[in-house]
Amino acid sequence: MERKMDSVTFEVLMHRLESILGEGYYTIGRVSGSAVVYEAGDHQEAILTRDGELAGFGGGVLHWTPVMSQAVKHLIEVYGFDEIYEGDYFLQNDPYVGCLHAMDIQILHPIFYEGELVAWSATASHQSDTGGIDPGGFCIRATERFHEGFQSPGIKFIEKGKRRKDIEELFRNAVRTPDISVLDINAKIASCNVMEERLIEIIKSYGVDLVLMLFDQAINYSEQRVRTKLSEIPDGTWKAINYVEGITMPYFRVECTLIKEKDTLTFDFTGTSPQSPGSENLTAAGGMGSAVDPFFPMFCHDIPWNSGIFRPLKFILPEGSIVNATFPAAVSCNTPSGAAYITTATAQNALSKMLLSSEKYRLEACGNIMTATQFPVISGLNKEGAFYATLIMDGLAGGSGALPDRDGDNTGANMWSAKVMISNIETNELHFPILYILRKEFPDSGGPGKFRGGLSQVICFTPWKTDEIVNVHQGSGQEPRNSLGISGGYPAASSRVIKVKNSRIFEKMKEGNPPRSWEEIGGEQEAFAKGLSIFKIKPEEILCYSCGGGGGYGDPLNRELDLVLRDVINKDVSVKGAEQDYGVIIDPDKLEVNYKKTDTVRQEMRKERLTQGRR
Amino acid sequence: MKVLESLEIVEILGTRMYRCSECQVVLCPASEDYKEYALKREVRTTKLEPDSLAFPTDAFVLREYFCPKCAVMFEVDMTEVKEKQIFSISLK
Repeated sequence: MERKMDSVTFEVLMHRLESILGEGYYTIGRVSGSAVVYEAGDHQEAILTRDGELAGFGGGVLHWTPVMSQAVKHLIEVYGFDEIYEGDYFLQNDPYVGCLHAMDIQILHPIFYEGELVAWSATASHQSDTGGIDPGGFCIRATERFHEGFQSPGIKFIEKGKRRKDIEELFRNAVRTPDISVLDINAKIASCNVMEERLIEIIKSYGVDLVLMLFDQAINYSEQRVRTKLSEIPDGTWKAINYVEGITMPYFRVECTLIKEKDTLTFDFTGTSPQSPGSENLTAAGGMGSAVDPFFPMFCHDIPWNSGIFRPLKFILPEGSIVNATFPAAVSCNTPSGAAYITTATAQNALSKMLLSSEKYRLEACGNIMTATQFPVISGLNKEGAFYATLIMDGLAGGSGALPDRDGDNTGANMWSAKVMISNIETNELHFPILYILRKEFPDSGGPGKFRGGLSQVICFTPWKTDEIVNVHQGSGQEPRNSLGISGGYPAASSRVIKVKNSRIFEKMKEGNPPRSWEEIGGEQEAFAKGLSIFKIKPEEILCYSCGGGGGYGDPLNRELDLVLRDVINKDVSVKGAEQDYGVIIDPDKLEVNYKKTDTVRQEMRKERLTQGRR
Repeated sequence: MKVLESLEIVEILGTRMYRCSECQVVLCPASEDYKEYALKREVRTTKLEPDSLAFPTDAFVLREYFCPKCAVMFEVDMTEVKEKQIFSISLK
């Protein structure tokens, strides 16, 4: 018979578990010296059971979560419980064991109480370099994993409480940014320590049996909640297809069929493109993590996040496809231009279609959240002459998808983390030799619909006190408008990447007339349309890019006129966009709706649909 | 039962049918792909971009599916030109 604690104690302990994860989250940020971690929040924390089941995980990077469980289970398999000691800290970053790509370095720490292994604390964060053939970890020239630098399936960075000098030296020797990289590992160790301390405090207060019972009960509770919710949705099949630009091929296609039967849900990716000869692939671990990503916030926002969520789910990831590439395929560029985000977006679109079929849960559906991303990975020498490499994570603030009852948020979020943020401009300017010209919301970038997708942003910066910046620029959505809308809403606008020469930017600044929009940047503009481009940026040249907005919801011709007018007044939509996308005529001087003309234009647009449409 | 903003399934004479929820025109049995009975139009993806900075493409299109009577939009698929029609919803 299953042992259960009373519901009040359960609730109290569940909140304690959540606060432990929260403290782990803030600890890594306080120790790390990497803006990607302490400002952008590109990390994740978890408490696992003795056997590697997730007892709870935080709101950080969600696609890293199921892989943490796989990583701990791998350690147990390789080492056995008899070679896992109190005071051990394992470093794991092998995509074929349990992470998306080698930059996502995990520290996995067994927690002992009175000599017995009772749990694990785990943290993961994006690190600045892995020593692969290209700086910054994103190895665009890689064709096999052996080109992608340091990868550990799980070595003891600390053993029995003693730091392994040989391992640390090996690691320092393997990466281009040793100091910041080791500091990031220390930050993860600190986070694991804090979570361990707090868990031991609970064990001392409530007893080890009750805490182990908590883990079981939480996992069973979440499983039951997911099964109950799935049972409330009609059985059926929903399909979504989406595309992303490749590095080695023009495009990749991801197909996701969701099959809901009774209290189970299958994510079937049959039909997805074969694996890439380049580094855009996902391993099976990454494929599963990316596919399940939207399920947490969309379906489980009111359910404790742990391994119980996965039990009613099944994943079909065809071997040899970009969502389950065979060894030794390269994987380092699977985000943002590769298979990961597009897998998440396709699953999200299919999930939204499923939710729309449920009277109870239809308001949880939404358009895609900024599938189209742009991330410069810049490197070179800073003003002190030291080598640096970093991912500029401003692209995280894309537009949220529109919902059945409201617009998406502008520069709101992304689907794969509930907590990530963008760095302050000043932080990036402090750490790296760049000067921002613009970072602002981008009009007309949200997907049109009865409810509009949130806006993305336009970002422009120029080198500052350096001879040049090498930009390994990754992104998607320049050609396929892959931030999809739902239920009659349109996809968001394309993303863009442009290098501007002869901008006269510093002259304009001296004249007191800096550009205030993309259009005012001027100069000679060169567009980059591939998933990945490498180019240098010289002083006075400007890198300009925009990311994806959110997909729209419902027919834009059914959008209320007052909402379109509000958008134009707020400069979320241009006067031209109001007419073209919504059929609403607005006087640009008076900022008033011309109701008569609008009625005529909307009628004409509907008539056009009927005359141009074919069966 | 609503399945999209403007598309619902209703039972008519014992058969579950897709119906436009705006004008109530009946499209087809719910066991079929409603898109076969909707009006379709393909437009360029640059339709979405009011400015001139968007990167043009001939590889992808927007496929719009709307009601044959009142023209309300049911779904918009962004697909490769050569992609088959996506059978997006199939309820048991």
